[in-house]
Amino acid sequence: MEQELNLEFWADSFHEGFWACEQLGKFFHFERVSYEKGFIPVFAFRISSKQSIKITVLGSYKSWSPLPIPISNLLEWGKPDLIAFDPASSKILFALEETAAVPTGNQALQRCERMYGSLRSRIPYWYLLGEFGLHVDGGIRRDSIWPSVMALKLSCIQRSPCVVLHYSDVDHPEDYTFGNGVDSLFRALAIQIGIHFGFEPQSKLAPILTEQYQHMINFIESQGSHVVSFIPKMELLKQPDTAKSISELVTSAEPLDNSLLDFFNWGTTDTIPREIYSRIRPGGYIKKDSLIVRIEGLVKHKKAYTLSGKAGSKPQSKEKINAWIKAQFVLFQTNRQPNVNFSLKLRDFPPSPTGLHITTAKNVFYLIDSWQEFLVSLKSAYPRLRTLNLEFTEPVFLYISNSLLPGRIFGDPFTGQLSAFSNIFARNVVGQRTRIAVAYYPHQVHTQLFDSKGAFKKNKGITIMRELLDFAVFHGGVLVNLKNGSII
Amino acid sequence: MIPYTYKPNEEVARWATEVYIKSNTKLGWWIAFTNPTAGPWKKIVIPIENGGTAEIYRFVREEERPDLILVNDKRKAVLIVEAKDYLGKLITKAQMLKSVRVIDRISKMLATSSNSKWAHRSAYKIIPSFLWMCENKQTVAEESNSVQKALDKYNSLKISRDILNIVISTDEQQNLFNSFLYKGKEYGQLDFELA
Repeated sequence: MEQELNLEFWADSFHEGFWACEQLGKFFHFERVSYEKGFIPVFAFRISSKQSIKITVLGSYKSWSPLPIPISNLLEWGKPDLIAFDPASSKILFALEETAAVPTGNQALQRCERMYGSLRSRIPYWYLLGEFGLHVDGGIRRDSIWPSVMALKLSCIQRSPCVVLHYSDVDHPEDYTFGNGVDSLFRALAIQIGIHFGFEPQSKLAPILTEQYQHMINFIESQGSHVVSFIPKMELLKQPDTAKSISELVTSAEPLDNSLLDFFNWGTTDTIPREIYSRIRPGGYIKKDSLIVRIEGLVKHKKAYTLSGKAGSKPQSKEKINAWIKAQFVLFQTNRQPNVNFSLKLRDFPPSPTGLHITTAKNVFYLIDSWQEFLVSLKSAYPRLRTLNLEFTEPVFLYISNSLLPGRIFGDPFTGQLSAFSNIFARNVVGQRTRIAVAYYPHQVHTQLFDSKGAFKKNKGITIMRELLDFAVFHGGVLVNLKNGSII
Repeated sequence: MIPYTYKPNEEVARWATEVYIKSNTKLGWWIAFTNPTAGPWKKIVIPIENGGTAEIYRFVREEERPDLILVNDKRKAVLIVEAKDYLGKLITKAQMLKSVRVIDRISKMLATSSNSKWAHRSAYKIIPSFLWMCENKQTVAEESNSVQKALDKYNSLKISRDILNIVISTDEQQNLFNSFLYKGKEYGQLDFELA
């Protein structure tokens, strides 16, 4: 008796699901594609004389009702381009993200919240993107290392595959047909499907994952020095067996020890290489800010450091800034905290040839050696917090978003940045908190987080903040405890 | 049968036409460009030997794009298609002005392209096309007239008035099918003269 296995490919667009099925046709024997209701692709693949797989492509998530609960839950963390779902077991097999262009600057981390959203539920995640991209200026850009760093770390923390793969090469930027990424991706996905349905052994995934993790490690090694001043324990990453160890960790049913994989743990200044320590210098700021000035002071005294000072400034028009300040002021009217002044003023934004700067620090984040040092700076910058009494033993990861447009911090690319950097810098490979995670939003008012009853509003950005941050500091020095909702 | 119901939208409408084209290759139409939300499809391409494609134009990130470009080498015709889920969105002033802008620009680009793989097609007849969903099959002709009127009203760049409308309708079982309207006449297949 023939067994027909059913799978659904939920996708942002029909094209992505259709394309994925076409690619799987290189590994499963393609029989036919038909169209239910005149437009829903149904691919039939033969696995053996007794087994076949039917994959139904459901494009455009928002078009369908009811959305299966696991898919609905995953979409709260952002929409992956494709989700493979087994309706019989109501289980997601994997999520896939792919981009046609090489993301640069802020965009590089845009998909990291989706990566985190999948991995927090231990849903295997593959991210396919171009390694070499054509910039509008005609030059060639290479992908950022951060998605790969985050994926390796999440793989270890969640013990589930999280992979970044690249297509294209230097002579064929943004071309899917060059590089090994596409082939490697669908080979792995075909095996993942086979393991789920029991026609492939569990052990078959590990070798290809080893190759994929090795690719990620090689990529980080080749590009790391362009992005950061140092990568801790790079020598451990480069060891021949590290990729294999990670692969075994994410595929083994046994509770393997992952504590030896202690890489990407950027520690306090006394632990960093001597030559790096000697080069710690303040990066400066563009728009003066009371807290940033003090954090820069900590860097000057080598009590904090950054990994690069390449945060660019994208000046905005005077009209836009004026409108955004007014909009923030309107939102501020529901403030109930004492001693908070709304002090955003147009004249505080320094001019540039193309508009006004909103960038404060030239870094997106600081790694600060101690909570106490941070607290002293915070109280000094915002005297309304002078009686604040919070004690922690861990150092601090301070993330900064200078965005001024109301609500902007709850969306791309900031939620992606936050997801990536808080996982990379505030947790170790076994998932323990290594730094207190704090975000600083000098141009945003805290009232945006709360409804009229003082409860957290529900949106993707707030969900991510509450899960990955301990505190956020808003305009006027309002400190919000993201874990319990208290406002100080 | 899938256990889900769908809500028609622009993605579904455009895809339904793409499926029609893929399923009726004997008619000679092929898809040179489609504009889904993401993916490696932001290029106008033409089919080449061995099943591959050659790029003839690449849209940049913020560039206005049509929703579909269909080509027929037998009929020497190109459809530049603007799509929306419903008529109301298609015939607003802002949308129609954008449609006219895009169709005009892409028409000129294709007519003057020096790309060796496209060059012999540069004289093909370019037909502006509009695509939308219409739940009531009885009103297809009426809606098509509304599109013609909106184009006439906002056609500041004087693109061709001979438009080909593609209307997606549903039957009682929610099956989707394409209708084609050209010069006031409705067709069930895209196989008529485009004179």
